[in-house]
Amino acid sequence: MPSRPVAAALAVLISIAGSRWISTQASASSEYQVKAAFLFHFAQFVDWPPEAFKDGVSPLTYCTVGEDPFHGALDASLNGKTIGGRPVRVLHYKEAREIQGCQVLFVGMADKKFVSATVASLNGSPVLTVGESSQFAQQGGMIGFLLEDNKVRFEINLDAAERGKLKISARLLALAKTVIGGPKGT
Amino acid sequence: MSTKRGVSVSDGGRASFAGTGVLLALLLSCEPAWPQAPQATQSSQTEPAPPEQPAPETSPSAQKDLTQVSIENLMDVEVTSASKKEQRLSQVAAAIFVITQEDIRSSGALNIPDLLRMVPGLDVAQINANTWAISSRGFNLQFANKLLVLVDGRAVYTPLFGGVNWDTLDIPLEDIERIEVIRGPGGTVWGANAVNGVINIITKRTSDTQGGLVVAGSGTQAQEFGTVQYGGKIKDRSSYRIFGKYRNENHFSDLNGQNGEDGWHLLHGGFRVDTKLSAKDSLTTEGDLFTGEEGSIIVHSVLATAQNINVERLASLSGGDAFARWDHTFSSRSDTTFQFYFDRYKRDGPESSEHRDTIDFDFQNHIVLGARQDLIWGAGYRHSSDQTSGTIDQAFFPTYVSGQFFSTFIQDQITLKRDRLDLYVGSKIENGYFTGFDYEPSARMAWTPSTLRTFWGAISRASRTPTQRDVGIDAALAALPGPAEVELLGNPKFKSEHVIAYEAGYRAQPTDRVSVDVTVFFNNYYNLESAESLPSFFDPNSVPPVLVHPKSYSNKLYGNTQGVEVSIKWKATSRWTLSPSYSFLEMHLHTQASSLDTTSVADAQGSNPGHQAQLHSLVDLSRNFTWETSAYFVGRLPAQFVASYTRLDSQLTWRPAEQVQLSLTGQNLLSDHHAEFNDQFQSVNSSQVKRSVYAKVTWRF
Repeated sequence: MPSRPVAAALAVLISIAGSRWISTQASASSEYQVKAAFLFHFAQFVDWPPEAFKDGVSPLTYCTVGEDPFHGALDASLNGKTIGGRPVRVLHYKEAREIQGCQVLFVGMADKKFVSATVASLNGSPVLTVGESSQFAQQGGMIGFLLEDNKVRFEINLDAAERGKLKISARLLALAKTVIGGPKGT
Repeated sequence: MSTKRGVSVSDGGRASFAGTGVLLALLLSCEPAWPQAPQATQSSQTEPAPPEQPAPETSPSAQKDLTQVSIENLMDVEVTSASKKEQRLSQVAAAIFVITQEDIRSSGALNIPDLLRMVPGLDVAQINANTWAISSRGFNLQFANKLLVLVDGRAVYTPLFGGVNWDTLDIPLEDIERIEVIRGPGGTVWGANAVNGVINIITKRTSDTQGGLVVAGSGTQAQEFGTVQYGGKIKDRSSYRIFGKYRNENHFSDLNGQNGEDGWHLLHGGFRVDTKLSAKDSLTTEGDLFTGEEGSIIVHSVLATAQNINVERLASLSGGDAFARWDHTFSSRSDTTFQFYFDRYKRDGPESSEHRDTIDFDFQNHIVLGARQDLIWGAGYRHSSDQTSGTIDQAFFPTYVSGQFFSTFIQDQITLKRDRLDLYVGSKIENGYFTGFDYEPSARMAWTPSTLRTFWGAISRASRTPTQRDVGIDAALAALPGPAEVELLGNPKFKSEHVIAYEAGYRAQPTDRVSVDVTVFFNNYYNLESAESLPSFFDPNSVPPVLVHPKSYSNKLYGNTQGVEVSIKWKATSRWTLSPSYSFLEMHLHTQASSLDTTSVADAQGSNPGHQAQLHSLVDLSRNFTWETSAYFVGRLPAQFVASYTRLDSQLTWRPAEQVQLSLTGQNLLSDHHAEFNDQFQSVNSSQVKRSVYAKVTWRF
C-alpha cells in the first residue's frame, strides 16, 4: 500500500497531467539552430514568383508541419528578421491540409507516406519545401537536409523547384551536395 | 566495530554487453535527459553554449546568432545531435537523469561522486576523504552492490566486494560528454548489479577534444589538482587525445575532530583514439594507467587483550586498462558492435590486498525489423581472476579465484503507435561465477500523448548474484573478553538476491520555462542477504585460543521499498535557472521465521535517508560571469547516528576570454565539518567532511 508521500506524488502527477500545454519548448539542440540558420539563408537565394505573395509587403512565411523538431529554435532565429524587405514570420501546422500562405515549408522527420503526401499536395505551388527525411529531395521535395560527419549538408531537386516556379541561385546550387535535375541552374 | 562485511558483491556486474554505451546511445542517450536534457545537445565545442538555454521568446542575446554566419561557414559548423533515435530520450521508459557538460561545469564538483549528488533519488555519502557510499533507492553501504557503473561500456567495480572503487574512478571531468543515471533495474540490458540503478559515463569523442587543455587549481581540501591534455589528428582518419591528471587531497577530521589520516593522492594518465576505418566502420581505442596512495584508520581486533583499537593504514593503488570497440554499420537499419577490454588493478587496501585481471568480450547487434520493431541483442563473456592476501582481521578463501561469466540479452522495442506508444520487452540470461542460470526479464511502456509529455511504466525482475565476499569472507568483527571474537564467515550456498520492481513516471514541459520529472516506484525484494548467528565453538588453534561467535551470510531477508523522485527545472528569467528536486524513500524489510538475524533489518532501514531535497541556482551575472549555488539536504541515518545535514556549495566563474575560465568555489559552506555515513560494517573509520574552498583555472588552446 503506498504511503502518504507516494499518494501525494501521485496526486501531483495527476494534477500536472491535467494542466495546460504550450507548444513551444525552451530547448533547442544546436543541430536545429544550425538548420534554422540554413533555412534563413535559403530564402535569400531563392526568388519566388509574384503570385506567391499577397502583395509587395506581405510577410515571408516559414511553416513547419507535423512534429516540430526545432522546439522554438526556428522562431528564435527568424523572428524580427527581414528578408528582401519582407518581415519574416513562423507558423506551425499539425496537418498538411491546414497549410496555407507559406513560402517556406519545413517537413520534419515523419513516415514516408506523410512526407510524400505533403510534398505531392504542394507540387507545382510556389512553396520552397525543405525536409530532413532520407531521400527527401528524391521524393519530390526541393531541398533535403543530410548530416555528414556531424555537419549539415543538403541536396536540391531543381526539377521540383522549377515546377513551383522558384528560381534558386547558382551560389546555393554550388554548395549543394547533389543537384537533381537541371541542367540550367539559375 | 570492526571490520567489514562487505555485503556481497555481485560479480556479475557484467555490463552486459558490449555496447552498453552503444545501446545507451541508441536507446537512451538521447536528447538531453530530462530535465537537464535541454542542455545536453547545446554544448558542442564548436558552439560554446551559454549556460542556459534561451527561451524562444526571449532574445538569445548571450548566444551566437547563427543567421549572421554566412552559409559557406555554416557548412563547417559541427552539430551535436545525432540519429533520430537519440532524440527521444524524453520518451524513455525509465527513470533517467542526465548530467550534462553544463551541469559538470556549474556544479563545482571536482570528482564523480560529488557530481552524482545532483541526481534525485541517488544517495551519495562520503565516508572519508577517499571512500564513498553511493546507492540508488536504498541499500547504501561502502560496498553497495546494487548499482552498476560503466565507463564507455566498460564495467567499473570490484568483483571482490561488488562495490565501486570511487577513488580510482578518476576521469578528467572536462572529457565527459555526459553521465546517464538510470534509477531502477536495468537488468534486461545491463545485467547483474543493475538491481537498483545504472550509471553510464560517456566520454567525449576525440574530435571534440582537439587542441590543448590545461586545468590547474588549489584549495584547502583538494590541495593541488591539475590536468594537462592534448588532442590532435593522425592523418585524416584518426583523432586522439592524451592526458595526464594529478590530485592531492587533504585529510578530513575523524569523528572526534582529530586528524582522520585519510589524505591521498593519485596520478592518472590515459589516451583515446577514434579511427574511421571506412564509411561504415569505426574503431575506438582507450587506455589508462594510474598510481596513488591513500590513508585511512581501521579498527583492529586484538584477541589477547580483547581490545578493538584504531590503526592507521596506508594503501597503495595502481592499475590500468586497455579497451577497443569496433562499430560497423550495415545500413541505417542495422549495425553491430564488438568490444574488448582488459583491466588490471592492484589495491593493497585496508580490507585486504587484491590483484585482479579481467578480460571481457562483448558483442551486440541492432536491427530494425519492418516498420514497428527495433531489436537489440547481444552476448558477452568475461573472465576474471584474482589473488588476495588477507590482513590480520580479514581474509578471503580461497585466496585465488578464477571464474568466467556468460550473458546474453535481447530487447525488442515495438512501436504500437508511431511517436506515441512504445513497448519494450526483453530479458537477459546469464551464468555467473557462483550461480547457475539466471533470467532478468522486463516489460516497459512509454506513452507520449504529445512531444511535451510522456508517461511510462515498467515491471522488471533483476538479480544481484553472489560474489566472493558472500561465499568466501572470513573476518574478525570484534574482540570480546574471554578471549572471544565475533567472526563473519562467507556462505558457499549463498544465492542470488532478487527484486521485482514496479515503476511509473511522467515527464513534461508544462510551459516553455518549466520541465518536470516525477517517478514513483515499488520494489519487492526476496532472498536478500542476512547475517545469521551460528552456534559458538572453541577454536584451540587460534593464537590465543578463542571462543568464536560466528555469523554467516544467508538469504533470509525480504521486504519492499517504495519512493518518489521529483525534479523540476524552472527558468525563472532569461538569466536565472532554478532546479529543485526531492526524493522520498521508505524501506520495509523483514526476516524469515527461521532467521536468527536481529540486526540487519534495522541496519538497512536506518542507513538510508528517507528524505532528500536539493535546490540548484544558476545565474548569469553578465556576459562573462556566472554564479552557481547548490544546496543539498540529506535526511538522518538513525541506524548510524548520523544527523541530517545540508550541504551548500557556491561557485563564481569568470570567462575573461573564450579560452580561459577562472572559478572560485566554496563547498560545504554551512558548517565547519559534518559526518555523512558511519556504517558498522564499513572497512574504514568514518571522517567528517570539511568546509573547503578552491580556485581553478581552465585554459584551452
